[in-house]
Amino acid sequence: MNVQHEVVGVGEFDSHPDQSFIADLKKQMREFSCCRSSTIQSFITTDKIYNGENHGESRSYVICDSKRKLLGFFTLGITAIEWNTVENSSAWQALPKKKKKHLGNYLRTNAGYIGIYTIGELARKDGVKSEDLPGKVILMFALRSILKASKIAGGRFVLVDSRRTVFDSLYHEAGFMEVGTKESPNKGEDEQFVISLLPLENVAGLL
Amino acid sequence: MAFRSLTQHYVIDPAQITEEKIEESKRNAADFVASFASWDSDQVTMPRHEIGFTAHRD
Repeated sequence: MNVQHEVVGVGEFDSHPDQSFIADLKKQMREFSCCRSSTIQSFITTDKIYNGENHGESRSYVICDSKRKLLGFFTLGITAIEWNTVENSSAWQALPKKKKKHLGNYLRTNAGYIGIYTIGELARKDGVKSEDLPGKVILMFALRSILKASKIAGGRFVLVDSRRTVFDSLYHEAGFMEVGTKESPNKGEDEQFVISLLPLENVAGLL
Repeated sequence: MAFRSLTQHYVIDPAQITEEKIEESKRNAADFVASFASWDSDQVTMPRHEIGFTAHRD
């Protein structure tokens, strides 16, 4: 993993001193291909990525190599889970009192929801070799950004909603635990998506 | 990946959260973090706002 990477936030495009690089980057984004997911391709090749940024709904970061060739990107944001369903689970009830206190203190809100970080998109461009940008490196960049945000604003978990194959090969290996499944967001697709959570304290060493 | 995670909340399945999974998560996360122990952060240029640049300083 000795390829030099440059991570550029979409939110800093307008203030970037090298606008010719940004113009080229935007062109590369419009041409981004990801045959495995039409939603990913649609997100980065259209205004969706800029709309999410402009409305504060998400923050996207593109990853380039030393020649400023676009290799991949990730998108971060905030979502919520219902905490009371966890608290009522048999597994939670079976935990020792000390562990329950450690995991659950201060988490429950009156409404039963807690806000958590989410990785909304994470992708490598078609044709880019895994060794030039391993999925785990994109994930590391995403988690480092989330850890920095949590240092400023708090937050204890990150949630990912992904295909099972991606969960098995990437997120599970990084410590995410499956907490549910959901129908595919892609029309006409039968595949179940995996909902997984990672306690941020488990990856604090990435910073 | 599903962009919907940014626009909706999740009701998670409590039966899926077990102590074994919590322990496995810790082990896997520790291995993941350790795999970057020799990562050379000088090889990475991070977003400019994170390294102290602002629009006013340009």
